[in-house]
Amino acid sequence: MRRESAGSAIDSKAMRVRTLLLFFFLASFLVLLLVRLFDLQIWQHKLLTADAIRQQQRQIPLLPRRGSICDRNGKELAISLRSYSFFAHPSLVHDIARTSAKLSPILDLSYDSIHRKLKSRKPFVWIQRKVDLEKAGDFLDLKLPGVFVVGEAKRYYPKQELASHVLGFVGLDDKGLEGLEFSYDSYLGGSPDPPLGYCDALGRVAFREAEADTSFENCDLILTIDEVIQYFAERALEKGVAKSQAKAGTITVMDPQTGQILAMADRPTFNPNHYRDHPISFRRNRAITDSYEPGSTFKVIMAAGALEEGLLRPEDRIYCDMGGISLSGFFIKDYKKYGWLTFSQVLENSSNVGAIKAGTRLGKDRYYHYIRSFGFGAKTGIELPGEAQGILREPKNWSAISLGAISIGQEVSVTPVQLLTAFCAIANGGNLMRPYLIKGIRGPYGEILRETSPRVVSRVISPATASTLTNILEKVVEKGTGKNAAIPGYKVAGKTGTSQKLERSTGGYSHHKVVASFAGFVPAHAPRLAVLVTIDEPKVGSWGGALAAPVFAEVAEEALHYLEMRPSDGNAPVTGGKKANEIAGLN
Amino acid sequence: MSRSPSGLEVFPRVQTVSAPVSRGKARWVRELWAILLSTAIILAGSLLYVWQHIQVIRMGYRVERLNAESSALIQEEKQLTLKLAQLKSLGRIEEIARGRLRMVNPEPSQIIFLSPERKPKVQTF
Repeated sequence: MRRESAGSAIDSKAMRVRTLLLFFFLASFLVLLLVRLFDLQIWQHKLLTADAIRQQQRQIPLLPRRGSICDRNGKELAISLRSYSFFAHPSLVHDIARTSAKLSPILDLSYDSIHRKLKSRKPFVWIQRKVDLEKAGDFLDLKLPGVFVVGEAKRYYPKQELASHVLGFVGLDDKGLEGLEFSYDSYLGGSPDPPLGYCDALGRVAFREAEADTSFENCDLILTIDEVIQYFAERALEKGVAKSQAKAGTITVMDPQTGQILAMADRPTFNPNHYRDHPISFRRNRAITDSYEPGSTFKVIMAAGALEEGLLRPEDRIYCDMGGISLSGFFIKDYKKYGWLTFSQVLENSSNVGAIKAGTRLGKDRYYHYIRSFGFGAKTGIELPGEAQGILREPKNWSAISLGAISIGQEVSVTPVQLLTAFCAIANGGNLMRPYLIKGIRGPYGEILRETSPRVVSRVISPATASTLTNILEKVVEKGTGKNAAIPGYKVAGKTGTSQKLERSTGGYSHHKVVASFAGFVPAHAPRLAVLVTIDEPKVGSWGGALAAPVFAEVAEEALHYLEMRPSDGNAPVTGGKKANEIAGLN
Repeated sequence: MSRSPSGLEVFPRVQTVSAPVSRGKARWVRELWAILLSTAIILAGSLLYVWQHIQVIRMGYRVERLNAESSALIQEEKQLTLKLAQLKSLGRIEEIARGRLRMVNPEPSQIIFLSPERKPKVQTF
């Protein structure tokens, strides 16, 4: 019994020791765990959090979001696509020669240029930016260490040079730099910051953060430009400038009833896909940034004032001094010696002497009032950046010859858009319209966010005066200086202009450098189109009627056919004595 | 019912031994069921919670897959739109018309304007 109790005491002691050992072992384990936990949660907290974020999160590349630019019929003129940019961390590149050799054919870059970039001591170098999808695919197969590819947006202009001065272009960072791309950059938007995605252990994205709301940023622009009329205008201007070997040229086509710009082109031009390949001067939209002395086309403004004030009627006779008039010592000539001309004939023949005399009758204050009313000396408010307001001095600053000079379009400078807007006011019965290029703005989901309505700036002249002036301008084309602007089957109203340019070296007017122009509208009494053509510094020929009027006629005729405007005299007969209707089998 | 010597009323003693055992067993069974039921509810709730999470993750993968697919299709559609716009470029069409097809501009007399109210006597297919 005693032996049993002694054995039991030993067992109990051994048990206690074992329990104690187990306790110490577990306690030590627990302490170790706590230490490790402390290490992970407190000491290495920042490091491990950063590691976890790096592993769990990654940026999800988005499709380019910059809105498209379309013409009035929805045809794309500018569109963004995803492209790929190649960069390298030179320190990570194992074999520069091999890498350069592999990349050269894929990127169409010379071996040397790639080699030079990879040998750079910089931590980061761009090898080539914004290349097409196929090239990126080829590259991914190579798996070159140290060279990486990243998705970026690229702007494409599928019509190449067409309307390039209106559209402008975007830089490498997807920001608009010129034209509508610049002035509507906030609406078109760029590529937003990519949202964060949360990945699993295999790197697959399971969730993503909500994307920023860009519904008012990535909009499409719908222009008033008509791609077809724009094409006609560009083609005719190209021919006109080439034929006259001119330094530059512009053409603007407007709907006189609404002020919508249907076409606007400049020469020289540029391809916005490769804008850096062209001189900066080629990218200038001369139709709005360059002002020039309008010459005889400005006589129309003087005539509008004189007719509106009732100072002159078309049949009133003016003596034109047989070809010349002296203004405070300056002798101003006509290109022909005219005697008595009616006021209408003064415009038909573009007599400087007759215009000066008519302008003198109008007087400087009233003339200035009309010039301002027609919108000269102020910006038109067109949506393009860099619009010039022209030069128009107040009457108190006019010299003794200013009234006469301005009557024939000198001592005043205007932009082509200003002059065409003024002609539109005559064409539509006397309302000065605000010219505009943006027909509407379409949201990212196709909804129309904004629609531009035509806006009348002011009434400049009465409908009766506008009609009388239109009759006179019709005669300019029928039998005056603008015969080359005539279009078979349609009544055209317009005015030629040939203005000498100022010679910077002498401070006087150049004898060789001129701006030849023609401004007109068609059909004369129910106009659908108003067109202004300027040819700057032509080397072959110099008269507006010879150089600019044919360009007007070509564009206007093609545009009228395109717009399905019937000739005012019905269908023209076809050869063989049959009417076109008969040939077509019409009743 | 009888009275005790102290005068209190007492119930007569029931001469059964199994009654308390069966009551205890019944209570034990009830408790067991309650435990099982609670466990089952907790387990089901947990499973539902986990299942829900798994479903969300699964849906997340699916959404991402569809997002990627949608992006690829939009990109392809844009590329085709670009290609179409390039092919429909008027300069290109005119070049083909004049060069390859030898087409020319119509003379003014060859242009026929159709009135909507007058239909041509041309058989259409």
